Amino acid sequence: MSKGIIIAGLIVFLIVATFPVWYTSAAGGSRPQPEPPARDAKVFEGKEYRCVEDKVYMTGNHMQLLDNWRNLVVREGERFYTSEAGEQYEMSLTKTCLKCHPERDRFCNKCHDYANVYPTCWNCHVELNGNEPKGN
Amino acid sequence: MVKPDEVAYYKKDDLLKVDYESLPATEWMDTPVDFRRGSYIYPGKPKNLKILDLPNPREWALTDDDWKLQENWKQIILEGMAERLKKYRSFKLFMDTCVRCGACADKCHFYIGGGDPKNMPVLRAELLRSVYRKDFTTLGKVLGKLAGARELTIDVIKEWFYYFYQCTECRRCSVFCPYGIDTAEITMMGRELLGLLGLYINWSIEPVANCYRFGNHLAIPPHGLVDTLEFMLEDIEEATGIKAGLPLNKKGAEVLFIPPSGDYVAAPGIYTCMGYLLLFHDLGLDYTFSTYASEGGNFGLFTSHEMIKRLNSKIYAEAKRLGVKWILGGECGHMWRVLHQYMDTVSGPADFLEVPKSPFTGTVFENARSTKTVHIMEFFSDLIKHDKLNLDPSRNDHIRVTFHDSCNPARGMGIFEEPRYVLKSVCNNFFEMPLNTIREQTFCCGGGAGLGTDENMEMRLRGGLPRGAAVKYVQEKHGVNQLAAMCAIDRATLTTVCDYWAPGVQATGITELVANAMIFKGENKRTVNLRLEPVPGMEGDEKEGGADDE
Amino acid sequence: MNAVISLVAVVVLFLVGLLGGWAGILFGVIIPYLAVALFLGGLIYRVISWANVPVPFRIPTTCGQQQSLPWIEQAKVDNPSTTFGVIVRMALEVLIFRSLLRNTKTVLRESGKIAYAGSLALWLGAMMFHWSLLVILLRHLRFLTEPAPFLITILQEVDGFLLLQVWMPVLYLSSILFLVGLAYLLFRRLASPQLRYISLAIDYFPLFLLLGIGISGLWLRHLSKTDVGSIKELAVGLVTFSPVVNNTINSLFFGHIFLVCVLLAYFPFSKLVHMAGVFLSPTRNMANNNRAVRHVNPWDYPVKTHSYEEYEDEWREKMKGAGVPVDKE
Repeated sequence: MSKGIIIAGLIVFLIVATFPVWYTSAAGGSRPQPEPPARDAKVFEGKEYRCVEDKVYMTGNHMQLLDNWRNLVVREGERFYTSEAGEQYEMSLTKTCLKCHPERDRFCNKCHDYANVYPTCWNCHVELNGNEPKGN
Repeated sequence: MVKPDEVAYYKKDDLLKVDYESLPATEWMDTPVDFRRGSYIYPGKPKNLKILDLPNPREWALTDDDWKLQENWKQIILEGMAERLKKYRSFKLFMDTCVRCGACADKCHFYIGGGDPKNMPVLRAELLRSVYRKDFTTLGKVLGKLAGARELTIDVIKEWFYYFYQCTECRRCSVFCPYGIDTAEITMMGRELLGLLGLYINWSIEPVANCYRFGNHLAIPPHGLVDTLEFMLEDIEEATGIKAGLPLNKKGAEVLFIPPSGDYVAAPGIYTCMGYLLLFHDLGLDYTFSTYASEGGNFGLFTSHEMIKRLNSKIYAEAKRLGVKWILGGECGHMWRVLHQYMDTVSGPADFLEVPKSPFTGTVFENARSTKTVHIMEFFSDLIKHDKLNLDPSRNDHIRVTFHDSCNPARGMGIFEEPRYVLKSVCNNFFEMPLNTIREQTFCCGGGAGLGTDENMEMRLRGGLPRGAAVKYVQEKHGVNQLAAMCAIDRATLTTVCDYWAPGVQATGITELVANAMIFKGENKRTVNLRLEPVPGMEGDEKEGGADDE
Repeated sequence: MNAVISLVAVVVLFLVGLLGGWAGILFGVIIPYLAVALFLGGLIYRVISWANVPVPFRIPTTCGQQQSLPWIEQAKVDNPSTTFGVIVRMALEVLIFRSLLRNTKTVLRESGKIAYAGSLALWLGAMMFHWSLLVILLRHLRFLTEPAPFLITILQEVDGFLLLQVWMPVLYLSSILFLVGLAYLLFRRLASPQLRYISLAIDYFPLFLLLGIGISGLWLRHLSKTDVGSIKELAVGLVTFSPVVNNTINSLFFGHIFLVCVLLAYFPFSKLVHMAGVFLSPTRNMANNNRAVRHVNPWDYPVKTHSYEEYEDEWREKMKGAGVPVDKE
């Protein structure tokens, strides 16, 4: 193989290998911040506002928590979750989570799109953004 | 008293006690080489080195502690490596890319038949690679032994000598290597480096010296060649009643014919040579032998790239001097590696020759349009395809033949169908050996690359085992009694291999079988073959007698 | 012993990487940049150093019928005589490891009989490992690109779907194939006495390193989860040369990324360059048209030969005596 072909091959390799650099520089998206909980009050329905677990835990593990909830509710028939802090919450996406994070576009999707993950929550659940439930 | 260079010294049961999993207790780098009689070849004699102006001619023995190397031997080797790393991409690449996956290990006939781990192609290359790493790579310099690097010492040189002369450069391992690493390239480099220290085996360097001076490996002088060939003409006349001609150094002939010199003197090669003489005579081919270029084989291939060129130059030079139009090459293995893959580069361009065209069929050999050199099996298969040979394959009906693909034409050229087509046209009973032992996966005879001497008998028998076992298989299954091979070294060494591993099977050349099947113009009633042995079924008054033939 | 040394080396490197949680700039920015620079620079250097060496002879290993007479069918891929044939041959070599696919296991029986069995385990292990490595690399583009290209999303969804979307988050098929492939490659090296005999420390090291990367990656995805957004922010920052290190990233990530950096830096100086070398192998990437097209050796030099004149001078009288024609009477 001649030197010219090899160098051409190297150039192709470099272009491919540096794809993230030129692609991302050109496309240039930055990290979106999820909007804070919709209710601005610290107190909600007579309770002090607090997420079921702390923020660092929830950032990394919310999907697992929701998955567990789903299994406990649907398969075991349990309704309530006791947090690390000892507080009880109803295990319901709609009734618990969506109370504070009601809009999928303003909250969930911001991170999910950025991380390029596409969970299947909304295949079954409906959004509570003022619309009537539309069924599946 | 039977000696290690005799076949009888080796009991089959002993040779077959190969345990691949019993390995030396010490790591390979710390396991010194054991020069065991029968497994190595004696050193090159100083007279041969002197003829060729090679360095450090002297008397020495492998078993000596002191190999009488030059004072600065280490520098010579390292500089030689550096030079070659700049000249051969294959060498540099093959030093760098091996991952030691081991796919090559059980592909080597010497490893299969001997079990010595250093005969795994991967370790054979590591012998050289370890020194390369130490002196030419960052990782080797930093990590040393962890990176497989080691100091170049006299023991390493001894190990190189032993194992680079236990490789027949057959390239079978390279078929299986995912990176195409070719141990033949490694061995050629190893042998070139050893050559810088005057380390050669006599069995290859003497033929080289002979070829340089006499024009052939066997030191047959011109008048000797005349005698030899005339002797064959007499046998031909006895067998067929035909007086064939002997064109030698004939200027203006159309074709220069180059056979391997092995076919001039040793049975069964001589019968193939008789076949050439007869067939060319019968066809009326305007050809000539040359005494100066009386060797197509090239033991330079087993010595150094420079030596390939020093010996090969004679062929084109002689073609030019004689004014022929093109070159026809006989049945030889490594000769065809050189004619096919090296000759045009080292000795070309052959612009004074014409693109080969068969005078009988008009076929133009486009695949040889640059080298102007045609393989005799290409030539014959074209003739047979055009029905230009008057063949009676039933004359070979007593023969049940199988075909051994010779390493070099197989993996350095890919000439598989032509010899099979010819064989099937001249023999009604043709049987293939198992698929893993033929074509590109063919096994070496165990004596290629200059290792076909009796001094090396143990390794030849071990290396010949895979081939021998495959022959034995078709012998038992199909009653095969002849092993055809288009290689002079094969015909010599496979005779030993078959006698040992598959007794009852004879080695033969293809042209011999063609000539035996041929109904020649003006032949006597044929009762014997070219070996002057009676042919079963032809003793009586059957109509095959050539006298009745038009 | 070689295996143990390599394992210890990888464990130590991993532990060093865990420290990254406390020195984010060094382990998250400086070392990754250095590693990528070493990888690309080293690889270019390596390939150019090969390219600078000529190929003096055309030496393809022919694995099929040559091109000769028109009525004889040529093996156009295994013994190519054209550039197109060579391209196909190389593509098969690179994409499906054609040569390894030929692999056999040789069994010598005491009777002297030899059996050759097809042996595809190595091929399968190698295919599993290499292809899943490619898929995993491509999947990781979701961290390095913003927005992630559509095809990467498709790949990621398919990869997750193939294992029936088990676990949360979804377990990728490629992760499993990668680890199983690597584990097999390591196992065969350790289990076979012959392979153990030929294996150097530098043969085990990349296996342990890749296993370390794979296991830590899987652990990071499924067990010790961390703030993926911050990781992506760091990754995007790195590729746009404006890195940001958030303290919400856990140590395990730094262990993972440090092993990746070691791999990148080690790559060009080790046998891993077979990735580039496979393209350059003269026994595979040359057409077998030797007798039709002359190959030129750029460093060819005149050598000492024995000319016909010298030969005739030595033998003239004998030649004349034997009736062989001579040039000079």
